[in-house]
Amino acid sequence: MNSATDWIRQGAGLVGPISLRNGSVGKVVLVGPRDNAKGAMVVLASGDAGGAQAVPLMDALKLMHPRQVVDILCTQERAFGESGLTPIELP
Amino acid sequence: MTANYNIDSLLDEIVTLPSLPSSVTRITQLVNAPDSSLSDVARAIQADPALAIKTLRLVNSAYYGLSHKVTSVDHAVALLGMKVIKNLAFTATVFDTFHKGTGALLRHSVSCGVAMRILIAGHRELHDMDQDEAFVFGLLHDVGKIILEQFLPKEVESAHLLSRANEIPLFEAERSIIGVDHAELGSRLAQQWGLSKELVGAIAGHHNLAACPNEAARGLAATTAIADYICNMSGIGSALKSTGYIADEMWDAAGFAVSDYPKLLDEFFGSLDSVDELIEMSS
Repeated sequence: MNSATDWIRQGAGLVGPISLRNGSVGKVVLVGPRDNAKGAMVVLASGDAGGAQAVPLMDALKLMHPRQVVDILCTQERAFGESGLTPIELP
Repeated sequence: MTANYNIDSLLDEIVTLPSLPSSVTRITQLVNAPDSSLSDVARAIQADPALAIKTLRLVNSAYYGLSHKVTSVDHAVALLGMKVIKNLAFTATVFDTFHKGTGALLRHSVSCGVAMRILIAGHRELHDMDQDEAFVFGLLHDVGKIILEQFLPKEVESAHLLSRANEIPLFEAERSIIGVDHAELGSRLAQQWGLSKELVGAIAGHHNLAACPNEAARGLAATTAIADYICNMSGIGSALKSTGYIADEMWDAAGFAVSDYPKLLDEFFGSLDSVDELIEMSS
């Protein structure tokens, strides 16, 4: 079955795995509300030296499945938004 | 526990589907009749005082965003038109039905209505539907759950347990335990109420497009599924531990671009106040 992203808490942020349409894998890091362009970042491995490239979520949309976008934005709103949604519960 | 029923045996032996109040049936007939007037519709609403009061409360809610208070049904009908009033009277009636279910289900259903309203407004090229009609799609998509909870509460509890234990969607667990799922039962109720074939089809197919009786219903069923998913991912599920299931086929069938979702979700999160208000006035 399709399940939502498996988020874990890291400090004040949330981190979850992501696979993009081009085959690259990485993590989504949520650190702030949706109106902050860097509140949601996609972090991908870059090069052979173990480096990483971080791009704002909105710049990676075309490489994502709509389900991932909905999962991420809803989680971001629950964690950092002001619309009064029930905060996300993490193990 | 094993499956005991098919839809017909369930309706014959266990479940009595609620009937639509005669006032709402009359309003629907009037709206569909080419020779009826606005005042005919207003009179039909006024003949049912409880419905008239609820209609006025809804008209004056933030959901409709009118700049001045409407104090008469005649004025409401003149202002909003017959089609909107029909959906509004219908919504008021459905709220009564929902009070037989859980508060969580009511919140989920109203939220889905608001999400559908936003999704359809963002997709006018695909669906020739006004926003109030779209709201009813979201409001009613899980109406079968109310019926199951009312008549088969133990089996529903077992289905929830099975869904969580085996990590399967609730509708699959319902089929396994009861033999019928809430989508099938809800679509039967919508059919009995004489609702549009698109709405009947969207309720039937909101977890499985193969259950849609025709092609026209597929896009609306898929859009309903996405509204449902958005609510579940927002923590506005009808079950405490929602599995958040959505079939992959829904995303393509609904036809939104991936870049549409941030704006649609912005609007949804910004509309959550109207959910609270609609729930408050439903009681």
